[in-house]
Amino acid sequence: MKSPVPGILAAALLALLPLGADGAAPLCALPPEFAASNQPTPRVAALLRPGGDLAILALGTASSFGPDGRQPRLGFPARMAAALRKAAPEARITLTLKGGRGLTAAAMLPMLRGALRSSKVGLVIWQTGTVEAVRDSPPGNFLAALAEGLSIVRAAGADLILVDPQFSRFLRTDTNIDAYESAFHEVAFEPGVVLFARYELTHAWVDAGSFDLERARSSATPALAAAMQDCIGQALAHFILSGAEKAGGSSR
Amino acid sequence: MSGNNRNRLTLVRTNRDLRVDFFRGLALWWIFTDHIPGNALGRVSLRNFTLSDATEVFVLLAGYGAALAYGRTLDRAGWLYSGADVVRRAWTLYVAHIFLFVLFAAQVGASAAALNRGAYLEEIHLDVLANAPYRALLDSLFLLFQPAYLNVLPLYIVLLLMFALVLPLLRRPALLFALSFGLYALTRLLHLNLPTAGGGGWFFNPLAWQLLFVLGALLAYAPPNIPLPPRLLDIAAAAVLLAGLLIARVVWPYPALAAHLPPWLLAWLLDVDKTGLHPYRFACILALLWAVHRLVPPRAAWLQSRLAAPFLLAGQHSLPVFCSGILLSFLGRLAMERSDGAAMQGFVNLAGGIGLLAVATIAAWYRAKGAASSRAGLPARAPSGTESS
Repeated sequence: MKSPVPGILAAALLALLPLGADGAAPLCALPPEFAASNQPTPRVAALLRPGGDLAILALGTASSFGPDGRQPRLGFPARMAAALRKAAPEARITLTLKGGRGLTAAAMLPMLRGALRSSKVGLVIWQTGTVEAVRDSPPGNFLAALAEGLSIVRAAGADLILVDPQFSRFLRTDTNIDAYESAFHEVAFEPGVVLFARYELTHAWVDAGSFDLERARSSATPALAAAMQDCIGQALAHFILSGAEKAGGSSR
Repeated sequence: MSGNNRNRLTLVRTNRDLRVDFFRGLALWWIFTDHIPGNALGRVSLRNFTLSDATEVFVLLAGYGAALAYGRTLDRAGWLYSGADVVRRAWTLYVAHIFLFVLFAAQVGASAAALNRGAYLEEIHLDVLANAPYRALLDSLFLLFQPAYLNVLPLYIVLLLMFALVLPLLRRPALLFALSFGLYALTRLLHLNLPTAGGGGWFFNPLAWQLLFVLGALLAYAPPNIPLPPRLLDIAAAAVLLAGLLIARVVWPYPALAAHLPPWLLAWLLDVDKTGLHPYRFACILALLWAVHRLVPPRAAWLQSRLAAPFLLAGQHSLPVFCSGILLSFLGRLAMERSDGAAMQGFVNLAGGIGLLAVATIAAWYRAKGAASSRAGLPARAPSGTESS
């Protein structure tokens, strides 16, 4: 993009979002290292302006579909879209949710291909990796699936944000999570894709004691899980806006 | 004091290579600590420092123990007799596995329901049981359904059945090793595995892991002459372990490094699989074995110390200790989900240790009692005398 307008606009929107180190909601407190995208997302920058038409495809497993995997309205993609709409009311933002419980990245590839063929998408948010880690499927295959997904998204001219697993002590202790995380970082090093480091973010929340689902009382779990999805959604919206801002800023 | 001593000596059998018992006991302890998310001790177990973990130690020493026990029977009474003993042992393990399966499924299922944590079922792959219980029960009887943590005993069972078939080949070590290595190589090249109901192969592929078991068996029955100078092997082992240490301590904990590694190296690292006993994992356990061989003499004084005794006792009764460890570690997980402060860490690990030790002590007491009554000519169930674990 030649015009710096989207960047300036995104910066202004960013200031509107009630988030950040001194954000309004203390539960959602975002450690500074997670506040901003380290890579520009030019497609999003171009579409997220007044009159713009940003179609988002969110692809993921159970956690994209709400705290219990059955309430997509409470899932982080829907919460992200809501936060984004609030921050950019002049743009038309639509969200399509695909995927489902227990799907591997490889199993989601045909869905990705189909969804990008049938409609014009500006941003793909791909949440994956947990199923592979829990099943211990080969990390090398996972890396290959991520790389293929990236090339599909690139060919469709969209930006890609990868979302890695949500931290849990179980994943850390009982799975080979580091290998899958390495695969995420390897792919996210490519142009056209950024990693929203949900694993590190939710780990920081657990360490801070704000969202610790593994330690929560069972009666408090559903509400806490929903609040956590909301916070992840807001953080992701923040991340998207910062990526757009970077794209605008770097285009001049 | 002396009474204590005598008691300990009757419970802990000392007329054998105590290194085997000790390290098997240690592996069982690690299996307990490593299965409790949030356990601080899980960060100082073997897997944190090398690419092999407690499972490799367990399988290698299972092979060693099996050859010690059944090799003797083979020499004394022939293939049919000793093979029958091996099959009986496999049957014992099978019954233990099914029993453990029922206990563990009940434990996890009830906890998931009581604590409103459906995630337990998915994490431990017991959702399959919830979705189609009769099918899953049938599959579990055929070892086609193996929830997480319940995949080691099926491996052990199949290894023993394979061992029963090749028992006489213990006398032809080179041939046995060549066959074993050939199967391992074919398995890795052709991606062979035993089937599961869910479609994927076994988590611990017996066609690959048999190599480690056979190696252990050959070390016990026909200790090889090492043709290479020990110094050379020292260097090779140190290099393998050092590289493993770098991967375990530097590469994996910092996934962001991945983007800066050469792609071929990352691709190789991501391929180091546990299922098929990747050659590098095999190399790591060989290097550890060599290190123990060089650093720990069979009669090392510390092996007979009080501190080592609990591990010896556990290692000598690995089946009940293993099964209890799986159940106790899930209890430990539940406890640590209430709190993982220092007090709870101490409590869970201490209580778990005491629990495992109690199980081992009871098993040892029954065994000693059986041996004593058979010596006295009392009608008792004949002690197998060949128990491999």
